[in-house]
Amino acid sequence: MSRQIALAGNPNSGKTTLFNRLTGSRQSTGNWPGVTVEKKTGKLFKDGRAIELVDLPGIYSLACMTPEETIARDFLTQNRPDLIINIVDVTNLERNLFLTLQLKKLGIPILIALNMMDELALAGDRVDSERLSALLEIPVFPVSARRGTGLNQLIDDLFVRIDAPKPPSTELTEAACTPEAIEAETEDLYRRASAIQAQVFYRQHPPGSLNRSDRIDRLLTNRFLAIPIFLVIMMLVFLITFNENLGGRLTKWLDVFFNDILAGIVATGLELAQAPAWLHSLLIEGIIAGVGGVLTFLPQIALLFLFLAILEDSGYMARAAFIMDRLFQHLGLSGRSFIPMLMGFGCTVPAIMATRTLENERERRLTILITPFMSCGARMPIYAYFTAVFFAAHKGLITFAMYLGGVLVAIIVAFVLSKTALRGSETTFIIELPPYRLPDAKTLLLHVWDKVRDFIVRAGTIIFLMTVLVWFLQSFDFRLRPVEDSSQSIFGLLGGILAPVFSPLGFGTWEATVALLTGLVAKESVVATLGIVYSEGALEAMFTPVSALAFMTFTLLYTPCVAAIGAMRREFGNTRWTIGALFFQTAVAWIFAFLVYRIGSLLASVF
Amino acid sequence: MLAEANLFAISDNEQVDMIKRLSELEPDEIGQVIAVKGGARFRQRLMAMGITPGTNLVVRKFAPLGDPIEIRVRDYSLSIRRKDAFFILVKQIKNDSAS
Repeated sequence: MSRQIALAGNPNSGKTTLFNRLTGSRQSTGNWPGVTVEKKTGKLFKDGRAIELVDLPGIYSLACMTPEETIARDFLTQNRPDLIINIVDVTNLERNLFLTLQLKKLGIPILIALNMMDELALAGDRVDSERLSALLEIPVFPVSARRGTGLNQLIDDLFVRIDAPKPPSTELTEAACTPEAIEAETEDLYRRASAIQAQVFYRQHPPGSLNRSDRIDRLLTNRFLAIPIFLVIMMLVFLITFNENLGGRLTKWLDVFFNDILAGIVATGLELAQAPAWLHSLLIEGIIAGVGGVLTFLPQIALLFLFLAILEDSGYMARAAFIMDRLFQHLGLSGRSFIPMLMGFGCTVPAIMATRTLENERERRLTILITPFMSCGARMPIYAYFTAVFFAAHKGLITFAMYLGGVLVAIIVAFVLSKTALRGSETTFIIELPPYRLPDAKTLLLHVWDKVRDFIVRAGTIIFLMTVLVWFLQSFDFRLRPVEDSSQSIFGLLGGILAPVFSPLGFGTWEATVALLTGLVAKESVVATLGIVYSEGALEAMFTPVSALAFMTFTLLYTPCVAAIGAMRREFGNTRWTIGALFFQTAVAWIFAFLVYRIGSLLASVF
Repeated sequence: MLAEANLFAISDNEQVDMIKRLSELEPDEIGQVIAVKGGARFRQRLMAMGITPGTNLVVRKFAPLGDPIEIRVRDYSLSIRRKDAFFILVKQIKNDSAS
């Protein structure tokens, strides 16, 4: 019979690091049924036997106040795993034990991985883990997930324990559901956690003395330096990712690889094989130009995800939220919204998923609505494509202006909506500021690999299919005859019908229109499509610098890709809201692109 | 420096045991939770994070723009807005360790 173990613990307790240590790379990520909270499962092997390990969301309590808590509680009570590994951060014993005491009440066999033993030793504090085990009546294994110490004993023990007969499932008495009862129980459990900690924890330093993390924090959240440091960190992230001599160079190499080397080899091969012209067109102008055009941005997107993961794992992300909260209050949001918005620069899908951590429904909706305005990685190729032709001397500046523009539009929209349609209940900002920690390299790499793999899979599936479809639609007419002039193709005719909508924005051509339509499937497709429908040099004839700017503005702001729309639908939990949001975003895009085009044209005629 | 000056001002005062709101404490001042007011969800949320009656809280700092504030509770740091700290009633107690 297959056995299942659940990994439960507080946020910031090193849960992901332990999970990675135990399962290696044998893990898969998905979503919990019906919701978009990440579900990670992995396999734990020993002597040819495998046990499934399920990573539950990091939670402070089982009290069902956030979606994460509800998921964890439902999983534990309904699936009833064979064993719970409760990861406990020994440097924060009291609050971690509160959850332990709640978990223990479920009646599922449980053992404790007492994590961060290395940090404890560094601070000079001591813990009596045997006494802790005796007081809790739960086996306790001191470990350091980061260093990998103590894990063998833990694994040996859980393979023994997993075979023990399962205790009869005790029905949870749901009597304690009045606010008074919950509060009384909370107080009682914290009293016990506090009493246990007092008996097992020996402090070297008096409480309240400054440790290394506190000293770092004194600088990073300093009253005068915090905001300059915050801006410098953000600038550095973007500079390293987008600068032509750093992240940009990697992209250039890949571009040479796809468009010169690979395309050259394929072209030679096709000639030798005397392949028909349509196959040549499909492979070189369709697939390599399209899929290759997208894959060239992989290094920069990977870098951006790496930096976001470093900010998150080091504990700085929470400080950034702490610093920014005051400003977000003016927008009817809280500093917590900052985290999804920053993630939005990577990919809108996980960013929208991250809004799960917001408790206030109004705040969540507003954040979901404005997060797509953050320019995601897939939009980067669009700016690169246009700036190379129209703003060769100011590539960096124009790209930066796009990112900044997205932020400004998000601020304007949030400000207006929080005063009108989404007015309402006050928000709170109660978050833990975890100690600063050096991110674990393996955890970072696994995280980035996860995102990179996702991007490659998308390029190989959705974008590949789209590329073939686009190539087909613009190479054939409605009678499926190959066309010489693309404007006579299926795409040309369809795009021509919609094109007048974009005439006031300066790009009312069928090519631009179909590029925007394919962008609905994936933003990367905009470039892939333009690459197919425009031959070399045609771009300059079809756009002016001002209309190029308007087009970039429109792609920055209009409806995100289908994957993001799917995430929006799940997180809104409401189709009407989703459709409304799509129309709203497209209207915002139209208005701002219009303004850019009109004001830009005016300025261009003056100077 | 400023915080220490304030500290002495209060400890020299007779009203050391005065009941205050958490939002009224300055950095480095300590309060013992008397009660958490506000809605049921809000109370449960704070209590689940360890802010239960009898717990000692230390105000660590204010955010650069003055709000939110950072407090130390049960050996970890928590950020909370002033308007929410308003609902936490504390008995200010004398700070021995900071001097």
